[in-house]
Amino acid sequence: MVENNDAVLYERLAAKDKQAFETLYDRYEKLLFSFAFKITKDRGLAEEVMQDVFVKLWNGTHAFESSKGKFSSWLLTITRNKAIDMIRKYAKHEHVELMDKDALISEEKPVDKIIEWKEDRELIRSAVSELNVEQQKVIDLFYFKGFSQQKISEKCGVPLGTVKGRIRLALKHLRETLEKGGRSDYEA
Amino acid sequence: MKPEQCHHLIDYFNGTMTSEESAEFERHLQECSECREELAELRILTEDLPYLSDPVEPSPGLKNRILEAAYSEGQPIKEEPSEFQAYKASAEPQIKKSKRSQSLIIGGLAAGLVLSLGANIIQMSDDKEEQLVQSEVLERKVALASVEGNKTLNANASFLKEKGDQFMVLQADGLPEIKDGELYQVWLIKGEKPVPAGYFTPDEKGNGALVYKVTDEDLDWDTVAITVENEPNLSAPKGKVVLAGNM
Ligand SMILES: [Zn+2]
Repeated sequence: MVENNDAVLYERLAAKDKQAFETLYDRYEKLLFSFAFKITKDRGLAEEVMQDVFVKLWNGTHAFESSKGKFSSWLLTITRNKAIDMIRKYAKHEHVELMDKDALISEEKPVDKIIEWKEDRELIRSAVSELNVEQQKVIDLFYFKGFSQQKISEKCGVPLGTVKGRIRLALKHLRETLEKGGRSDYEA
Repeated sequence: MKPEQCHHLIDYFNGTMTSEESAEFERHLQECSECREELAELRILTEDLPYLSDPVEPSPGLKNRILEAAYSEGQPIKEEPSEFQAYKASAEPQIKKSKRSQSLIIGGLAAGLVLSLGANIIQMSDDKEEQLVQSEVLERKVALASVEGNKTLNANASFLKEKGDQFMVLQADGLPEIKDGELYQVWLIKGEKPVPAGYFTPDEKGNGALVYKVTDEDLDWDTVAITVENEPNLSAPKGKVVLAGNM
């Protein structure tokens, strides 16, 4: 229903309906900003990512087609592409990593706010925590840092030819754990 | 043996190839069902990963800045200027700058704060600004001085609370020009431990400003300093300190 709603809003947006645009903005602001911040680790860069994504959404440079799948996934993908672009541009070397302690999942902070996408996040965090450290690392380097195959091979100390296989294996393992649903919670 | 192209899937997904290489891979995709399937699979398997992100609160005013940027692109703004637009226009003499879109870093709330702090610099023609800054409470203000004793170089860091969030609004003028690619990095320092607190590039007149949302961990700092760096947000300063101020 929400997806359908997104698609309907997008249709209106494409016809230059400001209200539809702003509704979509409100719906996705925090998720996209948080995601852009996770990648760039910088509020200013995350804001630039947001501006780029939404201006191009409004002016039609980024055009969504329902054949591209879910609107939310598509929007997250263009956000990721821009955010990775920004870190390549501004973090010329690798100091960004120094700040980040290479953790795919950050330390849990006390729950003191209404936390969005809380259930999704908890499910996926718990699934990630079941991966071994190498698998977590390969997902981080591949997805959140957007490194090339060559660089992932260097960082992980594995042959170039095995990088793709390792990424797929880690992601499949993650997906299987997720599909088992919250079961691990009950077993614990 | 697999065609050479099949090995480029990861780099294609991450956009690390040249546009020619990408185009070549796309031609390969037309012919190679295995790569097509693997690409679709990668997209599905990574679909949940964005939800790993910890929620981070966007700055107040981001929405207005983005809407304004979207609506004003390539066409004159026909509507009555919004509060924000009135705002930004009057703030511009002071904060117009930068190769990067500084308006994003210093818009909305920030422009209001800068205005309210530098009221003697910009006369307000409209009292909308006043209303917008009322919800912010000034907690403390730190004057920064040039480390080399340069009297024309000044900066102020004001700490304000708004809706429970603490913001540092930093304004500097008389900044020496920096080289292309260099930036002014602001640090909050507690004892020996520096925390990067945003960065900016000054305008042609040597003025610069930024707003930084201070997180809880940083509450206890004792010094604000500004260095010149080649890269943003290093874990510790590498460049020379130009300005510093103690609590
Ligand atoms: Zn292939």
